[in-house]
Amino acid sequence: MAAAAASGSEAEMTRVVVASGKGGTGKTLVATSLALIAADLGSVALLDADVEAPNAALFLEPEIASEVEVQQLTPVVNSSQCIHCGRCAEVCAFHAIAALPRQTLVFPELCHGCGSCALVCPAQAIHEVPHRLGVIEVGRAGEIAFAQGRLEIGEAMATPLIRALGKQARQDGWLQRDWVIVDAPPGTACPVIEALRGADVALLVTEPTPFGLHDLRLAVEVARDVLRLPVGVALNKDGDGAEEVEDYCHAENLPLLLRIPYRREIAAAYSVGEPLLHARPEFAAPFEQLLLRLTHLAREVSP
Amino acid sequence: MKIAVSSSGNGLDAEVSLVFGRCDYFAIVDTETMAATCLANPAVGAAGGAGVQSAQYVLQQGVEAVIGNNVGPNPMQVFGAAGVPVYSVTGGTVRRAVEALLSGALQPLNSSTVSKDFGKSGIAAQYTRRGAGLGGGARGGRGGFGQRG
Repeated sequence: MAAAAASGSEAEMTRVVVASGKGGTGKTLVATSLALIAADLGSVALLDADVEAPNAALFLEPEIASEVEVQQLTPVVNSSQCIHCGRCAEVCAFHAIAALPRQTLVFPELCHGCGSCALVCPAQAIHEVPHRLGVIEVGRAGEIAFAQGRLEIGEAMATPLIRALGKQARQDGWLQRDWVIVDAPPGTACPVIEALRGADVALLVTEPTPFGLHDLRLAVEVARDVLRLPVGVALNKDGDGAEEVEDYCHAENLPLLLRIPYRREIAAAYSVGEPLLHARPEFAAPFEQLLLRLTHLAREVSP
Repeated sequence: MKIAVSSSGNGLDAEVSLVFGRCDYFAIVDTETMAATCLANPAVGAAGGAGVQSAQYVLQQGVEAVIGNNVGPNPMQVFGAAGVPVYSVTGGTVRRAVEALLSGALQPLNSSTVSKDFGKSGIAAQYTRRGAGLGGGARGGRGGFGQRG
């Protein structure tokens, strides 16, 4: 099938962000399968935005061709110039500076790199130095353009790295492809919001557990209610407890677009880094259907 | 001597708070007279950096010592830089904590008693509800929600 059939006659890219709320529901399983199917149907890029633990590469085995360092500026206080006025601490929205009567302390892991402290310092006692957050690794996995962010161990600021990953994809012309698939981090906080930036549709992966459903609700609140994105749901580890997820999706009028049964063989393939579609080729058809329905969902609802 | 105690309520008979950066009140106690002023903690709902902000706030009150139950690494660093000793109690009222300090029963802490973000997301509160013992490393971690901003 040609890509034109999927995305209409005009070459318009569809950005699918695979998110979840709860961790370990199967975002990477679904995102990598979508990317492999999309590569058969047209052109695709996969961005692994789960920068604290990027693992899509374990399944797609990309060849990494280049690496870009991502930095953030953090303040350094020159104690001999500091007049201890406390303006820097007052202006810091993230409480990354403690101004004491005879000392000014900086907590780099709390800093968001806004530069306000250096700007307001009346004594020019603050200068900013680049601080390595992590890297963006860019390459190819067969026909799939691949990029992942990798946060430095011990770093807390995932969001700027995810933003840099999005910029990298734009610079490399990947937005001209038929699909961009983003594997988002778990949760509903800033890194997820950043991963959802520019999404045409969000696919929320859940599991039939109380925790899975609870976090699905939160993810729906973020993606649909706050960000106004078209949303579809994928149910992984389908089995006991699925009725609650079905009832919720029905009540909220959310399309349940994919169900993956709770099977030992699937977990066994996943545990050795074997893509689902290789281990269980019968999933090719449901994933193709999923990709096409997501593409239509993105068209229907977005302006 | 003026000291600060992280507190869960107003007055000397309130319980010492289980968390420091996000405690509800700081009781500022004059140890000569046992007169207490309870100040609402401005950092109780901070998205991040609550420990740094509250430690700075406490120091602005001109205290010479601090008593808390669980005190995180960032406020410990702030108090350390300011040369203000931090003492730990494991429960009881603010009054009892101050009396214990005055009787010499408390030793100053050298390092934090809990890991970073201990007081976030009501983690400490959950521990007490379950009646389990308190310990370090209570951070949410992956698989749950990233609370980071």
